[in-house]
This record gives sequence, structure tokens and C-alpha cells, in this order.
Amino acid sequence: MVHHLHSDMIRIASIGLVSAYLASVAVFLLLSRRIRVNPRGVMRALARSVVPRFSGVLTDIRHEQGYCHIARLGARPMSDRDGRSALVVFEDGQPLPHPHSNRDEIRVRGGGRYSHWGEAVFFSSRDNTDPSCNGRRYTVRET
Amino acid sequence: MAVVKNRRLFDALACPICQASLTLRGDALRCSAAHAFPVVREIPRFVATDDYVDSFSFEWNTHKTTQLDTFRQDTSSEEIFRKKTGFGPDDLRGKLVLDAGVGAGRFTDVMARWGADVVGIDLSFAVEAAHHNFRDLENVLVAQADIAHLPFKPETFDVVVSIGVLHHTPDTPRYFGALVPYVKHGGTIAIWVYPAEGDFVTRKQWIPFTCRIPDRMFYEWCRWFVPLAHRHPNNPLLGCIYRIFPFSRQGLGLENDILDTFDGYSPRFHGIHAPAEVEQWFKDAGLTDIHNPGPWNTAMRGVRP
Repeated sequence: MVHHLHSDMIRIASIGLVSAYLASVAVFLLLSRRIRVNPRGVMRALARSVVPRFSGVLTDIRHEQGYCHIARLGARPMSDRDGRSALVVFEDGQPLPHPHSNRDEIRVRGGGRYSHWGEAVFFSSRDNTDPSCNGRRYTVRET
Repeated sequence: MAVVKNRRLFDALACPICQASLTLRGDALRCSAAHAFPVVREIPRFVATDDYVDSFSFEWNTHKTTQLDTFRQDTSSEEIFRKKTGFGPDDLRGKLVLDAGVGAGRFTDVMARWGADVVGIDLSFAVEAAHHNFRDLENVLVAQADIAHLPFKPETFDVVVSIGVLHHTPDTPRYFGALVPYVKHGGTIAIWVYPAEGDFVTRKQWIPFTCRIPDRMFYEWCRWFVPLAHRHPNNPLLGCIYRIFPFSRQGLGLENDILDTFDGYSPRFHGIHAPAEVEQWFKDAGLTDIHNPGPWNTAMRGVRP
């Protein structure tokens, strides 16, 4: 019993000390640019690991132009305007096929093209029917 | 005594100082010039310590069988061996082979299964693990020795292989050059060393710091961290850590990844090399038929003319 307690304490101390040491070496290697990473990518990954992922149902859907419709999110997860959105639009639970699409492409070609821009989602249904009245459910989730 | 279980293998041994033949007298191998080398726990010892490779002594005695196909009941090591050397069973059956840097015997296991007579040497106490794994095989002999002072006569082996070893020596090309004289004329040497690209480059930056961590402590950390990474394969924070500190995720199981993460950061030396550099070592050694046998671009094979 005492032996087990002793080895557990050594194990925990090893993990703590080595973690702290490796973290300080990592900072040194990054600051001295011996290891190079994209700092924005790192910050984004860190933010995504601590901030809860956004999800919701698109309810207030309005026609924009052509096949394009717009829905407001009421929140602002990182969009294509700020970098690269991690938002996926689902039609009856199935992801629409073309994220990060150009607005004109959504308007002219539709076919499930969409873009997350600022606080809104610009999207088209998969078969170019009107998503505000085609009876399907549209949801979003940050991946 | 088990050290002479196969006469052909035993006769391959020679005094590393004067290269005279050795005979077993008492508990030591002795040459005619009275140089003596102890046999401890049935393993001939041509070095007194494990010098700069203590981390390998630790890891291979902790993971004696983790990478051996015979114990894993798969062919993962065989596939790696084929890709890095281009050898198949027909190339090695009946051949006398030196496995320089045997470790726990991952590749000796493959070659012995294919019918080669294999001498496996290692500077580290990994020889204890290798001997444990092959003690019942008549076609394997394990000895503790340094590549820079090999206990053989020149031109002894049909084939010399050294996979993932030479970059852990103080001077990769010099240690490669030390192996070549032991290949018979017409024999083949095949090596693989770390390439100067990708994760190997990143790890090289860490080595001066991580090799100073006591083995037991770093291993305990690997045993904690790697399972955590396994449980959360898509975690963005761990993905971010991977870019800075590439840990193992080879798809060969948790124990393999713990071992391989420890292996990647604990050695004293971690050379990285370009394919052209490796090819040049072969040319400088006077080898012919030099070629890269597979998809690993720093794997190289050549024939001693």
C-alpha cells in the first residue's frame, strides 16, 4: 500500500515536472524560431479547444438573390470573413456539399453551395428549392 | 553454453583488438593474444558499458516484445523491413547476416524467420531483451558490441543491415564506413537513417533538451501523454501540440506509440540526412549497385565489389 502510494507520487511528480520542462522548452524553441508554426493557426486551435462549439437551427430564412437565401445566426463564430469558417450547414441532418462558396456561385448555381460570412449564412438547398418552405430542417454546427 | 549453440555464428566472432579467433574458456571468450571478453548471462560482451545509449537500454528492456511480429502476431515489422531494405525471404535464406544495432530484435526476428543466420549486436543493454527473445533460436546470436570496434574478421557477412541505428551514433558517416569492411566481396549492405525532413527536423531541435530528462521520468510522462492523445485524436489542442512536439501515431497500437515517442526524443544523438548525402557515403566506400530500395528516400543499398 505504502509502496503503491510512493510510486504514484513519483509518477505524478515526474509528469508534472516533465510537462513544465517541456512547456518551457517549447516556448524557447518557438520564440527563438527554431521551430516555426503559424501563430494564428495555433491561436485558433487553442481558442477552439476552450470555447464551446457553436450549433443551432436556422429559422429566420429569407430569400437573397437567385438560389441564395440568408439566415442570421444571432452569434458570431469565426466566419469566412475573419479567416476560414468551421461552420457546417446541414439539410435534414446531411451536410450541404460546398462550403466556402463564392456568393455569385450560390446565387447562380445553388446546389447546396454556402458561405458563412460575419453573422449570417448564405446558402442554397441541395435541389435549389426554397429552403424557407421546402419542409426541410436546416441546422448549423461548428466542427 | 548457449553462446556456441550455432558453430557458424560463433565462428563469426573475432577479437575486436587483434581480430584473432576466439575460444570459450571458463566464462569468457579469449583470443591467442590473451584478450578476454566476458560472457555474462549467455551474452558475449565486447564493451564495458552502454556509453551514450543508455536510453535504448531502458526502452528495449521495458518494451522487449512490443515491435516483434512474432509476439504481435502480425507482419508490421516485416513490411517495414521489406520497404527499407528491399529484401525478401529468398534474398536472405541461408545467408550470414549482421544486424548492426539489433535493439530488442525487431528485424532480426524477420530475418531469422526467413532462414538467415543472424548475428545481432548492440552497444546498449538492449542485448538482454534480444537474447531473451531469441534464446531458443539456433540461428541467432546476440552480442554487446560497438559498431566502431566490431568483434568480427573483415569480409565475414553476406549481408549487413542497420535500420534506424546509425543516426544515433556520434558520427553517422564514420560509423557507416566502419560496417563496410565486414561485408564479403559480392555481399550487400542496407541501411536506413533519419531523413532531413518533416517531423525528424522538428525532433532534432528538441533533442538537446529532452535527452537530458532522466529516462524513467520521461517514460512516465510518455505513458501519461500518449494515451491521452490516443483518446482524443481530433482534439485541436493536441493537434496544435503535435505540430510543435510531434509524438508517435503510427497506427500500430498504444504501446508502440508510447515506445516510439520515448524513442524519438530520448537518444543523445539524432542525425538527420539527405538522400544525396547517404548515396555519397556508399560511393565513398567504393560500393556498387547503389540504389534506394523502396519508398523511404534515405534507405540505401549497395554491393561490395
